[in-house]
Amino acid sequence: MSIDTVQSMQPSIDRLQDDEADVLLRLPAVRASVGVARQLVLGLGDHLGLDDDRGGDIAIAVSEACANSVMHAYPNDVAGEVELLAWLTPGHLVVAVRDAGAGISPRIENERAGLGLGLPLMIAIADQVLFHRDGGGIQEVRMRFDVGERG
Amino acid sequence: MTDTEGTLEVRLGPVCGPVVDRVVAALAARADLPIDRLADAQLAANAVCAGAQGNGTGGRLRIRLTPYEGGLTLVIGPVPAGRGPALVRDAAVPGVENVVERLADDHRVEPAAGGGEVLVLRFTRPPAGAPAA
Repeated sequence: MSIDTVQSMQPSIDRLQDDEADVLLRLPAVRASVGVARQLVLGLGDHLGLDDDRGGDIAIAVSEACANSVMHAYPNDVAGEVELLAWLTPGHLVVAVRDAGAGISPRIENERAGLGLGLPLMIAIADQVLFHRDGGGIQEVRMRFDVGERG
Repeated sequence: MTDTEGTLEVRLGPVCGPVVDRVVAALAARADLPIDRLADAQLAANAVCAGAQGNGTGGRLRIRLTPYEGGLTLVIGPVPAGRGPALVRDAAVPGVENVVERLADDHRVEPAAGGGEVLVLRFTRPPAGAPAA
């Protein structure tokens, strides 16, 4: 099968449906959930047989997205949830991080913002990044990672 | 949802084992379970997932992990009414007996809030000062 044929078979990542996801993880939007999200990604990497570098990079990107939700989605200590969905498509791992919160701003100006490296890291590591906010207040960052022939 | 809960829904098959291992361990650690109890929770969850295909799961299984003061509760399902006991029965590993009955401190099948049944497993934390198993 040629690479062109394989690529033409890829569903557009924004069309992947929730009920098609291979994994869904729902967590409270608290700091400790970032570590659990990281373990989810490492588990997917174990299944895919990814080397430590690639698996670690993907875990960093997803952790950053999750950290954004935890830190910025629900201000003023309002309780909320963060959802992670993962799809295993041929040659790719697609991960979505979703919340019902206040949104991600590329320029975060508050004392909890840290160094502001999260979004650039996601964009540098993922092969494709989509940001989406629907009319119901759900917002999502969806990332596609090339995993070669394993996915 | 409390600060230490989590719900994992996973497609049954090869991806299940590695994902369940990592996520159950991460959430069980937040319940301050010692390593041996954490490993028991991983083994039991994986054994249930491995045997769950064909029990009306639709090819997917949900595991909700809720720490409580004395340990960790895993709620697995829902599955159609009447299929709950099969989740226990089919969690057998050849030569090891039934993993749920052997490793969980308590297990029971309960009606699920939205219909069907769930399998509830409990893993208790040893009392402070008790020798490790």
